Amino acid sequence: MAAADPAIQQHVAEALAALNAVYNGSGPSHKEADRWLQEFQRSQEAWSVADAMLRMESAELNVTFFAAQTIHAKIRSNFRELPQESIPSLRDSLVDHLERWGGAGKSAVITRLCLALSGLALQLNWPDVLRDLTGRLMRAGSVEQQKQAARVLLEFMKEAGAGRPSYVHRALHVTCRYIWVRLGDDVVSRSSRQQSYLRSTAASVLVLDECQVLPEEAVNHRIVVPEATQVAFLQQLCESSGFLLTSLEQIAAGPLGAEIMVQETVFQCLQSWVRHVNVPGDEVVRNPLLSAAFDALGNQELFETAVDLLVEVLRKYKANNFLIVQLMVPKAMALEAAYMKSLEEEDADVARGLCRLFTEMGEAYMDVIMAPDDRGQLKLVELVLMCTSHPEREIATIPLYFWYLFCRTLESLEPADLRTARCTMFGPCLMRLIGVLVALMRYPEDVDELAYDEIDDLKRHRYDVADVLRDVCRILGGVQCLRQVVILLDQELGTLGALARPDEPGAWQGVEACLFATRSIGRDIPTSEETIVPQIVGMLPRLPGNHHVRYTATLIVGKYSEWLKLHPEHLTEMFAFLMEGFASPEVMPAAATAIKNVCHSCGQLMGEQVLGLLQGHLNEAKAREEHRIDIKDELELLQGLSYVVSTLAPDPAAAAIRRLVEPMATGLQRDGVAGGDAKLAQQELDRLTVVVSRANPVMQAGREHPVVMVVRELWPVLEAVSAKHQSSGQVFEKLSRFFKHAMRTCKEHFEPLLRPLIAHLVGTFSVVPHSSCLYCGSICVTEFGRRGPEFTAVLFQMLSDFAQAVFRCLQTLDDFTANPDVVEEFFYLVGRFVDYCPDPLVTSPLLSSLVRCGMVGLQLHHREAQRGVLHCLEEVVGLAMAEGPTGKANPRAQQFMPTVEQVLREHGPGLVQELVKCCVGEQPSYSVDGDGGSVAGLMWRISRLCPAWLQEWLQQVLGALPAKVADNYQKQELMEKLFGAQADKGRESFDTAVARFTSVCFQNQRSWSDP
Amino acid sequence: MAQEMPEFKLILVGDGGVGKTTFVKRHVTGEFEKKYVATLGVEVRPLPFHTNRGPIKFNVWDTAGQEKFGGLRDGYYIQGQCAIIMFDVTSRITYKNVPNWHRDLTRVCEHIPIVLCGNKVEIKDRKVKAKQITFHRKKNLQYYDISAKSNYNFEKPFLWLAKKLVGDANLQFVEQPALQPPEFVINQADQLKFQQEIDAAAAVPLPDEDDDL
Repeated sequence: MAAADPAIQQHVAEALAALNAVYNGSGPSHKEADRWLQEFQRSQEAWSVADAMLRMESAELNVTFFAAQTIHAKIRSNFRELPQESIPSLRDSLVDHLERWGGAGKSAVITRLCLALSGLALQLNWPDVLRDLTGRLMRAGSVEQQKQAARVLLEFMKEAGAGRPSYVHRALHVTCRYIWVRLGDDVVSRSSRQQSYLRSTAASVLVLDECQVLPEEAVNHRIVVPEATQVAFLQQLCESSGFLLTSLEQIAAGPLGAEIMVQETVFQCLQSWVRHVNVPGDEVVRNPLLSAAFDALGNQELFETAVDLLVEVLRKYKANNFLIVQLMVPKAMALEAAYMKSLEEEDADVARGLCRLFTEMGEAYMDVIMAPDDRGQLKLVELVLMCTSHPEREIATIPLYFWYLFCRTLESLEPADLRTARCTMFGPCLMRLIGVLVALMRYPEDVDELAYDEIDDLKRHRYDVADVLRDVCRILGGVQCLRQVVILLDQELGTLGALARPDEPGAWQGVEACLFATRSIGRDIPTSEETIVPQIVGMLPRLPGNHHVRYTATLIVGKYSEWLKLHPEHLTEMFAFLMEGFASPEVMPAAATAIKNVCHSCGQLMGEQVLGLLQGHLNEAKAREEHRIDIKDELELLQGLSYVVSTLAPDPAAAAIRRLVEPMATGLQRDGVAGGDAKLAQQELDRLTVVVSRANPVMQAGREHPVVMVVRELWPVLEAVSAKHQSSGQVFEKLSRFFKHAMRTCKEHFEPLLRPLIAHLVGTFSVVPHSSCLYCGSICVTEFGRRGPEFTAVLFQMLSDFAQAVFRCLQTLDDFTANPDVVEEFFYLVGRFVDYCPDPLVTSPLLSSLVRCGMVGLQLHHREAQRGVLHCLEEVVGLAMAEGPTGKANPRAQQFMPTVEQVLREHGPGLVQELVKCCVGEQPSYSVDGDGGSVAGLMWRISRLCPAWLQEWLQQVLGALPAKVADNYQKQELMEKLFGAQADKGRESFDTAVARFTSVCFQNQRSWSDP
Repeated sequence: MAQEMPEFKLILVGDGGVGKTTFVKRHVTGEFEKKYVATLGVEVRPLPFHTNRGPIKFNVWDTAGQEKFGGLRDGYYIQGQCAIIMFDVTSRITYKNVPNWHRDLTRVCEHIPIVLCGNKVEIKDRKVKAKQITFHRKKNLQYYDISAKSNYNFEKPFLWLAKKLVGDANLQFVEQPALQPPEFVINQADQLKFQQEIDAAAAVPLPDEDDDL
């Protein structure tokens, strides 16, 4: 291709400027340049401009890379625009470029060029391309050129293989033979010319690299390939695997095998084949490379690669191949010494790798571990246990998932006597695990100096470890675990007591860890326990140590609150302990949580005096100048207070709630309304919500529910807050949440407030469309939708009013896009209505409008909104289904059938068109299959009701789809799976078929749509 | 003499809709955006951080997750120095695609530190549980649960990358990113509450002391 053309030079200059702006610039100029480059890639000139860029004397990596990528993209997408007579020169150019850039070692560029050339061969549908290409490339005599030849051939196979399986087999053999011949030559030349030998090492590494990417590409979702072809291709690779494995083995055993780089690449190549190709396990185990990988663990340079390979083998074959298991287990056991050495030498990389290996082995061989016969499984579990006690947290936590699996498997092991036998076998191991876990919970010595993020990681880590401890409890029993923890605690207390200065750094951590463990398993200890818990509870107020110890000890009281309920003789002392903690700024958060828990469990034992006492302390903590209580802790305490209130008799309860709420109402008026502070208003609403959600005393007939009273009395100030903060979505979220909880607490007693509330919600929404108003409307439906026709009428009026407002605010697709939350909540509301009280809606013309609106909603690029719409439409169709998806009978199906049929007759074809658009990627498709609103779910329901209609509509829509979106075979495949004689009519296979079609179309688009 | 601020090209990838753009915007403006607009091609956003070793800057290449809006696709990855792969813990398929993103990345940029982030942990209906995430057991790969909505762990991925890139395990961010409004600390607390409004029982990302009541 000519490069001297001034017009082309002009374009090159423009492209370089754009590239510079994209890679080095930012802001609008960047955006504009990016758009320019995308346009450019689609233009006719791009062919020669990219070619000229690759010929430039010197260019930055990103320029060269972009040029190669452009040619590749164009060969894939715009090949037809290239004149026939330009093709030979394009091919020659590509080979030239490969020759030039191959030597520069810029591998991202070479890969791209190889892909381009392979794509070209595929486009040309050129049966002898392989031979021709080989011929041309092999004529070039230098090592560098031959290196590229091999590379191109393999790249070609990746692409060609995807389209034409018949090529693959041949190509692979040609290439492997080629590699082999080259290596043979190397051996000969080695004796004469050392130089050449070294270069050929590099060459074979390059070739092996390509063998590695071949299977990766075979399963690559980016390449268009019908399911059948892909299966055939993988089959071909599988048949070739014996040959490949032998070649790899011979390479490794040959003179080149001494080179680290070659060995590394051989392992990587094998790993790739194990992962993607169904290489028979027997072949892998027969190949000496598997053992060689274990040997390579002793070599620092090969260590990581060898671990990767072995882990891949474990994941792929699990315990299904006995020969592999037999080989792997003893070799892994033999690594114990290497692990110990890594501990001594503090070699974290080796420790991590081995830990990974043992852990993955344990996970993969869980069946072997649980097998009835003795296969040395105890040793494997002990190895994993050893890893769990590694001093580095990051390494020690690698096996946590193993322990979760282990306990879960052990727990459900059948038959029961095998389970008992295995529990006996592993019992001592698990007992030791408790100690290891407690040690893992230990705070580091410098905990008080740690940065915020480190503390946070540490806390997260302790919760993960606590999870495992609870899993262990399920096997050994909570009391058994607790006993073990207490033994450790006693030891730690002994150590601490023996210290001259118990407050020195690092002294208290052991005690604290044991307490944290005690706290973690609190819910696993029976409330009737009479031996250990009293002992613990008795020691809590008298523990030595600092505020960390105190903090965790305080939390223990909260976790054992149900136990306290049954042992009220300890309550007074514990409560005093908690109040003492509450007075200390460092312990206050723990105390607030614990008080809440104790109030929840033991509220009945506490009564009004405690209420007064707590409120006094709270007021004091809020009034402080320094160490004022955090809102989070205050809300905890308020929860506790509300629990106690719930246990009081009606009159004192009402009075107590009023006392609680009064300062909040005042605050809301003062700060939220008069002061206009949205943040403070939200805070007061949070406080009020806590009270109305937890304060639920026993009701007496004929009395107003105290929460209704609260809402009624607050009404003016609530309205004032809405008016004041009309535009604040956050304030409205808080308001809606407040009303939701009030309704949930009061249930039918809320009735006198229902109409005012609805009027308030609708009125607000028509002024500013906050989605939270719609959400609150949904709650009205769930609370009152099944309470009788008079409520249904009110709710239907609400729905119609909301619908009007929604239609007004969502007129164009842009409106939909700007208000995805409104779309989502509105359709959830409609869905709820259909579910709870559909009668007025099915006889109303509103239904049809809603469905039409939903069809627009489907076009929205918003996951949750789309799901909301689909869910709603599923509910509508579900009205006429005799049986719900969960098998629940719907006695009124017949009655609703005419309406649903009418809706489908009117909107079905359009709806199916929209759904197919979602599948083929013309519209977003966030929820293709699954429950609670999905494309497949909706189609499945339609197919249950009127399969013939659906078939006809689908046929029509699919027929109109261009072949580049889905070809005839793919369309037929879908129809066959959904409606064919062999079709399994179950929901699951329906979903699978739709999902499969979607991913096929997705692949088609990935490769063939214009970029 | 003031030293020049180190800059790093960060590639942000992951399936469409997992929350990549929202996550970055959250860092830039402090706001959580409900609206979803698919990213076309790429958006580059500079994210400066102040550390105890001086300021550093990530140039975040926020790439399109949706294939049809991919623009130059892996053309953007060249010369990337670190990466974040994001998925959505409420959507299994987005986790299943993680190895593909990882491979696409490492083919263009080998041996770079990568953080895997599971987003939307504030949502109750979590599909990919933390203990099931085992893709990151390798070297140079770290995992974090995050929530762009509630700000949970929102700085952690950047901090880990900064530590790796600078080669200093004691590096710390010393203040909020420069563009955050000053009252942001309060804002963050509000946001943590805000997430609970979706549902009273919504799972709080950090299992706090009251985790089972």
